Amino acid sequence: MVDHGYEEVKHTADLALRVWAADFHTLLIQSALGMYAMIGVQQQKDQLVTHVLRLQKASREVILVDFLNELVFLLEEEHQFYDHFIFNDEETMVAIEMKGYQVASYNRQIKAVTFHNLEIIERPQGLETTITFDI
Amino acid sequence: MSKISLNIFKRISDFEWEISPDFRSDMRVPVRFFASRRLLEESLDDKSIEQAINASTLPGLVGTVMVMPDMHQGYGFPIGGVAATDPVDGVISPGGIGYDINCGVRLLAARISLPEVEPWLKGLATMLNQNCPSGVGVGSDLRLSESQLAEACMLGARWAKKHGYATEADLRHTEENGCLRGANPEKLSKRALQRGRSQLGTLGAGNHFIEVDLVAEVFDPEAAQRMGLQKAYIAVQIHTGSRGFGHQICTDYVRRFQPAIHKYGIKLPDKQLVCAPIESPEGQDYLGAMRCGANFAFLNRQLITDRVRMTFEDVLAGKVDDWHLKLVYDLAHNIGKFEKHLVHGEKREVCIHRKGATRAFGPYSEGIPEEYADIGQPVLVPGSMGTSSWVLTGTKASMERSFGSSCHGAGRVMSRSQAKREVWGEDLLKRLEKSGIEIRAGSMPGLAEEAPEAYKDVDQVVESVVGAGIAKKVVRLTPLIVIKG
Repeated sequence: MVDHGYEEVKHTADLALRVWAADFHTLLIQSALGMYAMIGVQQQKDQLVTHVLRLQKASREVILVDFLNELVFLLEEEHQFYDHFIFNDEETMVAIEMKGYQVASYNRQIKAVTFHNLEIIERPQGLETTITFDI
Repeated sequence: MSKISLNIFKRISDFEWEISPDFRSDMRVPVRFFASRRLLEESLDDKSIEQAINASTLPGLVGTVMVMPDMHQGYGFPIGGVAATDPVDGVISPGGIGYDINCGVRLLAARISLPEVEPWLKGLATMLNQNCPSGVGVGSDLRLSESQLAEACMLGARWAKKHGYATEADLRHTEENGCLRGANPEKLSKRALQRGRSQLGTLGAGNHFIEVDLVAEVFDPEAAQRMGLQKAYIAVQIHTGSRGFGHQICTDYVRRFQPAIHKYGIKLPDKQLVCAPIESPEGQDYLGAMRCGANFAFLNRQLITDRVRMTFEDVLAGKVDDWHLKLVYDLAHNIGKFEKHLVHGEKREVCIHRKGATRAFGPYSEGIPEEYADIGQPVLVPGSMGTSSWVLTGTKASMERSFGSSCHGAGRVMSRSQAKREVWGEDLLKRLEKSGIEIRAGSMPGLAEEAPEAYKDVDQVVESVVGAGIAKKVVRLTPLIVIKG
């Protein structure tokens, strides 16, 4: 198994994504990229965007859901896609500097990122989780 | 816990099955399934039964958790789930209502026969698609200020009446007259308001649709006549919900409730079932916000109705005798409400969670319009694209056995990726057009995901609720035009 990645897994009505990575920040990045892949985002490569996201420190699962829900919001409301992330741990917050592109179009709407059976599991190679998206 | 198999169910009748609370140590009440043996067996393939068992662990449940025959795997609750909690000792669970708060369906009856409309179907399909905003990322041409949106959340479909988009009869024929009392816009986040402002009057994508149907078969002529439905005449269904506004409300409160369960000492098998006591500040805030989402959805369907009526007039005026559309009924299938129901023979108020299930009030129940009092509330069951849809009525038995609830649709059996692997959108489009259905779809992969074979047989679902006695057949509809985002 490569040390990080994502794959869509079977879900009857919604979408589910299995994600694995060596560390938590890489798991967040892979989750974002996997989610964008399921959405089918077309970027406008000539229109760069930046954003700093500040998330309250919480359990890993809560940070993961908060992070992805922020990206869903930025996609739907601001038509922005991000694929470069720098994480800075602060005392009570996680600050994430993000770079990406304006979005030309996307194929699928994600209503929300759910907590359904969400657990970030430690494996010998790193971390793994399965995220369910309501669509 | 034993493995989930048919052996764990006690057969009550051919269409009712129950899992005892002894099955798993954290279950608080039994779980009852309304389904034929075949549909129940098919449900063993996904996680819907396990999710229903999980829902039976919520604190303060009364009676039994019910599951309808269109059940399928969701997140937290199964789709097709109905649960009632005690207003004093019980909880409210945003996941038991869903992200698309008050996703629902409405049916409009026309006095237009098939031969009259047939020459104009193509044009009607094109204009409906053009006039009713739909599809991924498509916003509304109606931009409300925050204060206007707050007012719309308080008034629901009444906001449409105030601004000339609805009639008094429309409101009377909408569940709760199109407005849940107790909506509190102060409990909405800035972000929810931002998403709501640009999405009112839009259909969205996924399984949302506008469909022009033919009344193909009449089973209860008296009830059909009362609803204005006549064999070989047409009708229109609109299926949508609260859009990004509702999604954001649910997201906000599922997040806020994560620490709340520890505060109230609630243990749950799944984080998506998070809940808070109804009487707690968190519970009350969610109720105030959720009702805003529900009212937004009632209004959203009413505004789309206005566009559909306008389109019928544009395309058909002067070509058919009467192009007006009368609202038969509008109902929610993702909602939380306080209703009075029989619990162990005693009528009491409970907080009903319906997630992918509709209200199905029987004859002479409180809250149904006078003209339907003796026949029961219309129950709308849209099928999958290209198959039948059904109009049913609630019964005395639904009031006694299912908290006045019934099924909401066909229910998926195939994942979206499997549907896309097995069905080509272009092939499906040709197949449906060959069978005489006009399709207007936002995307071919999206169309493939909604292929009829990805869903259960809606006729089997309806046979189950009718067999169980919790609904009665009125008419069967078949599609002529399908508009999908």
